[in-house]
Formats: sequence, structure tokens, C-alpha cells
Amino acid sequence: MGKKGLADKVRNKQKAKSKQAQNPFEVKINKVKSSVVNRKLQKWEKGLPGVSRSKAVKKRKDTLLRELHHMKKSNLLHDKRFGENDSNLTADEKMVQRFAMEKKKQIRKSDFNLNEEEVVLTHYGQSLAENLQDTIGSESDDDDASKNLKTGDLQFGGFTNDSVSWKDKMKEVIAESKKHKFERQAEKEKTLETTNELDKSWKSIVTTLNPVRDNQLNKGKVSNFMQLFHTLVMSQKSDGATDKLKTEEEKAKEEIEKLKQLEAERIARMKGDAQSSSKRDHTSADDLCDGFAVEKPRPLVSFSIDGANVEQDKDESNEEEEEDSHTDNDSDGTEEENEDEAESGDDSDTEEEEDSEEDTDNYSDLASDTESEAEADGQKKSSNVKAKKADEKLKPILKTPKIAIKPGERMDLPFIIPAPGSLNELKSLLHGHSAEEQAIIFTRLRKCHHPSLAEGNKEKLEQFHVYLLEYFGELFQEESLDKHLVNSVTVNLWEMTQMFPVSTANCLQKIIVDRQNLYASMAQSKGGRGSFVRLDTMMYLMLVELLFPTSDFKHPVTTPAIHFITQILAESPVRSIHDVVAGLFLSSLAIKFVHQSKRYIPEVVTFLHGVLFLAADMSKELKVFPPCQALGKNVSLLKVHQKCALALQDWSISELLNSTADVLNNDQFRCQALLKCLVLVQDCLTLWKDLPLLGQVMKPVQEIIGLLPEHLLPQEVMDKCESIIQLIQASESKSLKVMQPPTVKPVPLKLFEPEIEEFWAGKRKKKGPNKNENEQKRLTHKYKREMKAAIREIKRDNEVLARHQLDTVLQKDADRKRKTKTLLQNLAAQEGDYKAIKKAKY
Amino acid sequence: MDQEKISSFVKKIKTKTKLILKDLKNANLIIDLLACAQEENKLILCASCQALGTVFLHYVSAKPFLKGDKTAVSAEDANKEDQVSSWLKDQFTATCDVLCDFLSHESLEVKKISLKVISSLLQTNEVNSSQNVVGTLIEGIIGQLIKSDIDQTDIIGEVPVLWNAADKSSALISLCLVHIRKQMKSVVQPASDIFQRNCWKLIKQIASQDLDDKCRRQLTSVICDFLKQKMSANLYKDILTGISVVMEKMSSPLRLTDFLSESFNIGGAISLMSLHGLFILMHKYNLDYPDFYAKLYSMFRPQIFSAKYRARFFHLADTFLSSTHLPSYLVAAFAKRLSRLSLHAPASAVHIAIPFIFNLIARHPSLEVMIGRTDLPSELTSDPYIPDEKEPASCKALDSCLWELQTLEHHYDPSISQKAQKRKVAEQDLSSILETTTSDIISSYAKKIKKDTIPLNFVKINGLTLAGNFVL
Repeated sequence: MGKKGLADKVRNKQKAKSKQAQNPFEVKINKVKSSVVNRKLQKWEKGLPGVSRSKAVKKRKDTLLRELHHMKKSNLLHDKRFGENDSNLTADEKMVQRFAMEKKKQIRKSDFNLNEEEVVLTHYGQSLAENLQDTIGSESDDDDASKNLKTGDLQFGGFTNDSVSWKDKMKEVIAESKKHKFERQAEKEKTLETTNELDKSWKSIVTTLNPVRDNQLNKGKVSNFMQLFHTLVMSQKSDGATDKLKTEEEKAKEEIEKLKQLEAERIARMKGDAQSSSKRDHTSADDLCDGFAVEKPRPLVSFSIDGANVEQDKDESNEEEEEDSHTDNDSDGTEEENEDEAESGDDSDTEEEEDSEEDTDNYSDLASDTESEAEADGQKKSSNVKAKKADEKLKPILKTPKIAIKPGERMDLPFIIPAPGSLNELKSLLHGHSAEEQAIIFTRLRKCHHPSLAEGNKEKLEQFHVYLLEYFGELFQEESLDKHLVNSVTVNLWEMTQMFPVSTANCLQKIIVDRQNLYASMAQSKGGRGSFVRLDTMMYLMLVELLFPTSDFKHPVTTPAIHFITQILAESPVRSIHDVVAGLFLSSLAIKFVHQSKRYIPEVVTFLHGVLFLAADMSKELKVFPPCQALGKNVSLLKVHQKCALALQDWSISELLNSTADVLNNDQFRCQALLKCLVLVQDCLTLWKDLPLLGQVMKPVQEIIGLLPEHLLPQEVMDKCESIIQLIQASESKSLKVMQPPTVKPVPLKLFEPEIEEFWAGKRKKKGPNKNENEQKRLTHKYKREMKAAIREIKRDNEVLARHQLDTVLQKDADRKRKTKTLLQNLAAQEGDYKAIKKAKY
Repeated sequence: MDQEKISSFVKKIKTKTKLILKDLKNANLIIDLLACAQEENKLILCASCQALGTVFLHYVSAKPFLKGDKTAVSAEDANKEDQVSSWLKDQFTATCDVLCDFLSHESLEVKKISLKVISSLLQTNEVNSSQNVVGTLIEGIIGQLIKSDIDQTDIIGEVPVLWNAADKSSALISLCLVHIRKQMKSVVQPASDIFQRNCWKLIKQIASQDLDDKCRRQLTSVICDFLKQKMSANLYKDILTGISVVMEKMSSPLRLTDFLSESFNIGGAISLMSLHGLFILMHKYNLDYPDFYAKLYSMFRPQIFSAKYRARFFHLADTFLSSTHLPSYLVAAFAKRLSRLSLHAPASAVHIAIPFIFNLIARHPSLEVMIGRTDLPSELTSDPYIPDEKEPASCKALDSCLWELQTLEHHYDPSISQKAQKRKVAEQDLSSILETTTSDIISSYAKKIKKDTIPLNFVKINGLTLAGNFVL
């Protein structure tokens, strides 16, 4: 209880202190620069100069003057009276305390005095006399029960009650809580054990239940049990609660989002860097507004290296979608067989396949937008899936090439094929195999060297990919072209390009540049006139179009490719009917390159003009564009001599280029070529319909169409001519918008950037740049202040001492005067007395 | 003849030369040396050539036999001296003939050495002082150099040694020019191609020297005579490319006007090449040639983009149009015509054409209306420019706009597209881009990919589907 008393005392003291009323006459209010209404007077705005001065004076009196007094004195008097130096104590308190101490001294003296001690009887440590008096004396009925108990306790020596002591009680409580705790723990352990047991049994059941899924009869009706079963299986596969399975709607939404994003990025690339860099989000105060900005490299769309997994990580829904699309596309029906064949080849695949088919029912609502989803197949992001699973899912590749394998043949091929170390090795590996077998070889090569299977597989596969690219070109150098093989190689190339985009791009770029160099050196030697390239080069250019986005503003592969195409078109004069075919093919390829970006290719226009020129009447002088020549032996290469019927049909480029000139040198073929050319012209017109001056661009073409021998040409050709001329006239009649001077963006005012602190602590931080420097500054500041304070104190001390000296001097003088006065007084009195006596004598 | 024999022969020649130099009595050995000069082997020829050179250099300076002054003391002595000097003179002329003949030898080495020996002989004072000897020597040289059956262009390149070291080089040059003129007159018309080539080369060599006024006049007349002849197309082109250098050394270059304007009218490459000469005449010699720019305008045809001389054409055209004093309608016509042409030009040509057009606009700010117009109605039904108009003044190019640039903004080549999008650029030097070929452009785009990834097609394919209605 004593402690509490102390706290109270301290508090009361503080209260009393603060309560000391300030004398309003002593308060001095400092002048402020600008007063704020409704604000309390701050601490630093007022002061008590009188009080503080008197305090200081008093302090000096007690310390400095005392020291002065004791100066040059060897003895010192210590005042050891109680409370003499304590200014907090009032005189009364001091007296009381002193009295108490005096008393104590006296009591101590009585230790040896036995007589004065009084014996008191106690019970339970209390004086009996008092308690008895209490019980006897008071008769109040306020609290009977307590009184009874108390009296009972007291009256019967306190031994009637057998209640346990407090200590025991506490012990009991502790024991009980411990027991509870132990019980809870035991229960927990038990539940854990049972769960584990259940899990074990579930696993065993799953394995036994697996064959149930194969049961084809059950496929139709899906019971609740099966649904539950499947959800359990699925949840088992998921990593944890965070990797919640996405619903079909979510998946579809995600895919659409992804597609949208890819398309948006493609369009951004199409527009080029110039546009993308134009929007700058932040202008610094230091900006000179000269349009210069450090451009951040913009990350391009990527299907990352592990795009490898992309293909394989498709979940069931995707697989199902793909199957759908395949069956849709399939017209000859060989695919179904082929699928079965492929599946039976890999036993492990069967389950997976069945699984996906099972799910068909569940995901049927997904089939809303087949096309978009088929597109999305390539872009599935990979999650970490086991290698085995990834391998199993490579299967769709097997299905894509249209192959039909006889069961006997398939067995000849080994399942594990070593990766070829060179192009020749690859060729020898493939030599003698049919297209179908080669497709299987490709698939197996890719399967057994999948990057997730072993270290170094990625490099092997990359190398294989490069050889396959070279092999692709060699396919077209052979006499007879195996179209199935070409298709399967192309599909493999596409899929592997998704795995190794950079190496493919480098390799294909090198092929294109090499062939272009070859072409350029040939043309150089012939005086700037090249000859049309061979089929394999054209097919490489075609492959570029299939593998890489041609709509990009600048692309390391497609841009050189389109330049090569246009160079061939612009520098190779048409010398034979084969050249016409090749040129038309290249023109259509060039148009395909730009069909999304709608970019303008002048070389195509001039080439088509040249082709039409070959068919036109030479009655008058015509403007021609190089490389076409107005004179020469080939000027009437496409001139039709007799009227003939015509049917537009697809041209097989490989057959046409391998056939002899005699076969093609007939009027019907010429008409076909003419019609093809006109179709391309029309394509150009529709593609570039928004270009300004398209009419002027196409004017030469219009002129030359007017010179075609109308009476000899079939009706289809003439119709085409008619529609083209209409289109040209329409574009010519379009009004031209006068070019406006570019609008100059207003230069923004130069402003300083506000310094924004994220966490405002209410104080301005005086933070320097450096910790050491800060400390240094702080110390100098402190030193200055201390120095000032010390000087001020010393001055004041001196003042006090001086005043004290003056006081003593004045005092001495006054004393002396007074003493002299008294002396003089005495003397005067004496003299008076003396004189009086003297007078009296006389 | 095998190696040993040749070396012994050469040694013999050297000993003979030493003997001759030692004593005048051995002078008869000169005849042996001259006989040696008839040999076949070129090493022997070189040796004999040099031997003759040293011998006569010695004699010419030691014994002034060339001058026919008779200052002998006694008549008998005089007679003997006279005999010797006349014999030496005969031998000297024979040697000169031999040396000149060597100038048309098939081996370049022999030619060079003989030329060197002749030039050293010409440098000595004694030879120089006798006009007669110099005249015959130069006549012989020129006669050999511009032969009508041997291509002498290789040795003509060495000819400057003849007059480089000599004191009176201008006199020598004028002598040469006189003899060239004589040769040209004497040769049977029409002159052979080789003769003309040699001639032209020699004229060019002479024109590359510093000439005084007399020589300049002579050169002018020689060139005018030369250009009157008929010549092959290749030589014609050669002359046109080199004429600008020759022109500076002529006393009155305006005499070339006829030749240049005629060749300008021929058309094609020749007409292009004559442009530069004409331009120099107009620029430096105040030739009044009113049709020049109209003709230049007519030369802007689609063919210029593919021609071999594309770089030269654009370089010259840029020079012609570099003056800021040209009327703006004219420059506008050129800009419009070139931009119209670039609509059908291959990419490598457009790479030149666009900076060319922007250069024109940068030099003539009045052309800026063509890329930004504020006064006209904002829409036109058709382009006011008349493309088939032959006169640049009446093609209404200034009323038009360069919509072609807007079209080229959609060009498939990214850098062309970017160039066309910039409306105003400072004038730049075209020489760095004039030689751009398609291969250069492709290699600039086909850089090795260093990034981790590049964009790919995301649409899955089912096989090799071809463009248009083509199948495999």
C-alpha cells in the first residue's frame, strides 16, 4: 500500500506545481510576425522574464556568491540539519520531520527498557482485545452470514473449518488446466491419424476404380458419383488450395483476353516504333521539349522458350477443341484411322485420350467460338507439369499430318531415335522412308529429345530443327514433289519454331540473305538483270510468311524477305512463260505479306504492268517500267492469237515450273495467266483502296488494259478488266485532301517537380545526403548553441560578481560614514559636555 | 635462249659500255650495241637500251658533237674531229630511232626503260639546245604513242616523266601538242578506235599538267579537232566523263558547247553524261543554255531508277538543283515529278528519292506549300499537276501537293515509311546514300538477333498453304 501512496504523492505534487498560478503581470507575450486567429498561445510565444531572472539571480546567489565567499578559506562549514538545503519543504514540514526524527531517537533508546513494554494477546495475529470489543460491542444485523462465519472462526480457535489453503487451491487449478490441454492434444492426434488412414484407403480405391473409366457403357450417363469422383481426382492433381481449378468460363475468358492482347501487340508492332514512342507519360522539368527522350526498349510479344510446353500443356478442353477442329477440317477421313493407329502405338496415351473424351460432356458449353480457340491453341501458358505428362501430350502432332500407316510397317521404326548430328545424317535417317514414316520419325525424334527429359536435349532439338529447315529446301529440288511430306515438315517446322524462335529466325534469315546474295551477284554479272529464282527459294519465302508475322513494322526475318521478293520482281526481266508463273506467284506472295498491314509495294504494280504489257497490242509507243523492255524478242510472250474458252483454276506451282515450255505455250494458258494477273491487280486495288493517289499509281495499268486485244480474250478476262477499270476510276474520282502543315504541339510551361513524400510524418525532415554529414551538421549546430549559452552565462556571472563587489564597496562606505558620523556625534557631544562643564565652572 | 646465255650477253653489253666510256677509241662498239638492240629477248633489250643511254649521255655532255661548230686548231685535226662527230651524230639518230621504236614494243618494261632513257637524254642541255634533235625525238615518241594498231594506254600513263624534270616543260608540251595535231591530220579517216583512245589518253595526260597560255590555246585546238572525229560509244562515254577535267585547262571551253549540246540531244546515258559538262559551262563560263532544265526535266523517267548510272544521275541532278536562285516553280516541278516517279520505283531508288525531294524543299522554302497548304480549299477533286507536260513551267506543280509522300508512308520498307513521315528535314549530303543497293538494305535489316525472343505467328498452320490461288 505504501507504493500507492508514493505515486499519489508525486502526482499531487506535480499537480500542485502546475497549479501555481501565473501572475499575469509577469507574463510577457512575444511579438509574432503574423497572428493566427483562434489559436492558443504557444509555448514559445510567451515568457516570464521576471521570474526567470529572479530564479537565475537566486541560483547565482546560492552557488557563485557562496563560492566567492568561501574563496581563500581553508575551512568549510557543512549545514547538516535536516531539510536545510531542501527548498521544497516548508518550515512546518521541516519541523514535523525533525520532531519525528527526534522521537525515533528516543524510541531506540528504549530497546533496553523492559518495563515499559506492554504484552498483547493475539489470535490470528490480531489483538484479541480489539476484536472482542468489536464483537461484543456492535450489535448491527447488517451481514449475518459473514458475521456468523467470522464469529465462528474466531470463537472456536479457528479449527472448525477444514477448507484447503490458497496455495493448494492454486495448485489444483493449474493441474486441471494441464489436463484439459493434454486432452485436446490427444484428440487432435487422433483425427490426424484417421485422416491419413482414410487417404491411404482412398488411394487404393482410386487404383481399383480406374478401369471403371474405361467402361464405354458408362460414358453416356454421368452419375453424381462419377462427377464427385472426377472432381476428387482433379483436386488431387492440383497443387493446393491456391491453385484452384478455373471454371470453363474463366478459361474461355482468359483465352479470349490472351488473343486480344496478342492481336493488340501485333497491331502495335505493325504501326512501328515511331508511334509507340510518341506517347510519353512523364515530362521532367529538365526536359528541353526538343522531342528527345530516352526510349525504353519495349518488350516484344514472346511465346518464350518454354513455348515448347505450350503445345503440350493443353488441358482437356483444349485437346478436345483441337480434335474438333481436326475432324472439321478433315474431308478424306483418313485421320480417324490415323489417330487410332497413333494411339495404339503409345500405350500410355490411351488413358489420357479416354480421359479427354470423357470430359467432352462436361465442356460442351465451350464450343462457342471454335475458330478463335483453335487459334489460341498455340498460346497456352505453361504451368509446371510433369515431364511424362508433357510427353504424352505431344500426341496431337502425330495426328496433324495426313498419314495412313499400315500396321506392319510401323513396327520397323525404332521408338528411340538418336538426334542427327548433321544434315547428311538426317537425310540418311529419312532415306527410303515414305512421307508417313518420315512424319513419325520427326514426331519420335521430338518426343525422345524433349527438353524436359534430359539436359542437352534442347540443343539437340534445336540442331535438328536447323537441319529440318535445310531439308525443307532440298525437298523442292527433287524431281517429284511429295506434298504430304512437305506439309508434315512444314507443320513440324512451325511447331518447333514456337519452341526455338530465335534460332529459327537466325537460320531462316541466313538462308534468305545467302540466296539474296547469290541472286545479286548473278544479277551483277549480267548487268543488273537477274533471273527468277528457283522453286525452293520461293518456298523458303513462303515459309517465312507462315512462321513469322509479316505485318510487323520491322522484323529481322520478314523485312529482308519482302525486300528479296521485290528485288526479284524489280530486277528480273520476264524471259519465258515460266518467269511469268514465278513472277505471278511472287507477286501474290508479296500481296500476302502485306494483306494485314496494307502496305504499298510499288514493285508488284510495275511487275503486273509488265505482264499485261506482254499481252497488249503494240500499236503505239507505250511507257514501260524497268526491267520490262519495250523492245525485244519476248515482248509478245503472252499475246493471245486465237479466241479460246477458259476456266480459272488453281495453278500447281511445282508442276508448272517443272513442265516444258511447249506445254504452256498455248493460248489457253496465256489467257489463264492474264486472268491471274488481273485478279492480282484487283487484289491490289482492294488492298490499297485507302491510299491517296491510288488512281495515279494504277493509271499505267489502266492504260495497258485498254490496249488488250478485246476480241480475242475470253469473257471472264474481259469482265475482270471491266471491274478493274471501274475500281481505278472510282479511286481516281476520290477527292484529295490538301496536305496540311503539321500541327505543332504546344510547348508546356516548365514547372518544377513537386517533391512528394509518401509518408508524411508531420515534420519536415532535415535530411542531408549523407549520414556522416548530417551528424556533423547536428554537432556543429549544437556546439554553436552551447557556446552561445556558455558565453551568456559567463557574462551574467560576471555581472553578478561586479554588482556584488559594488554592493560590498557601497556597504563599506556607508558603514564608514555612519561610524564617522557616530564618532563625530560622540565627539561633538563630548565637546558640548566639556563646554557645558567649562561654562558651568565659570 | 636459255638463262645463262642471256646473262652472259648482258654482261658482255655491260663490259662493252664500260670500254666505250673509258676511251673514245672504243666508240666503234656502239655499232655492236645497236646490233644488240635488235635482239628478241627483253632483258637484252633493256640492257642494251640502258647501255646506249649511258653511252650517249656521256658523249653528249663530254663531246659536243651535236653542234656543228668547227673550232679545231689544225685543219687535219679538224677534219678528223669532224669525221668522228658526224659519225657519232649518225649513231645518235640511229639510237633515237631504236629507242622510239621500243616505245611500241609489246613488253611494258622495255617501253618504260626506253621512255626513261629518252627523257634523261632530253634533259641534258646539249640535246635541249638543238631544236632539231628535240623535234625529231618528240615526233618519234608521239608517232609511236598514238599508233592506230597498238593500245598504248599503259605507257601513256608514264609519259609525264618526259617533261616533269625538264626545265622547259611547257616548250616540250607545246611541241608534243603540235605533233599530236600533225599525227591526227596525217592519219587516214576514219581513224581507228585504238588510235582515238591513245589520243584521248595522251590529251588527258597533258591536261593534267600545269599549262601556260600558249599550251592552253594549242590544247583547245587539238581537242576541238579531236572531237570532230567520229568515235565509238564507249570512247564517247569515256570522253564525257573526263571532259570536265580537260575543260578547266582549255583556253576557251565554250568551244565545247556544240559538242556537248549535240551529245545532250543523243539521249540515254550519253545525254546524262554531257549534263555535267554543260553545267560547268553554264556555271563557270556563262553559257546561255535556256533549255537545260527542261531537258533535265524530261530525263526524269522510270528508267533512271534501274540504270547503272543511277547514282551519278542523282548526284548531278542534286548539283544542278542546288542553287537557291532557281525559280520555285521549276524546283517544284522536279520535286513533284520525282515523287510521282517514286510511286513506281524499287525500294532502293526510293531510298534516294525521298531525301532528294526533302533536300529540294529544304533549299527552297517556297516549296513548303506542297507539303502543307493553308490557302486552298481543303479538298481537291484531282491532282492539278499535269504529268505529261514537257515544260516544267506549265505543269502546275506548285498548285499541287506531295500526296505521293503520304502514299509512301505506307511503303513496305520501314525506313522509307519513316523517312516519308518526316515532313521537314534539314538538308543532308546525299553522297552517302547514292550507292545504296538492295543488298545493302537487306543486310541492314537482317541483323543477327540477339534478343531472347522474337515475334512469331500465333495462328497454327496445317501445312504449306500457298498464296493466291496457287497450290503446291
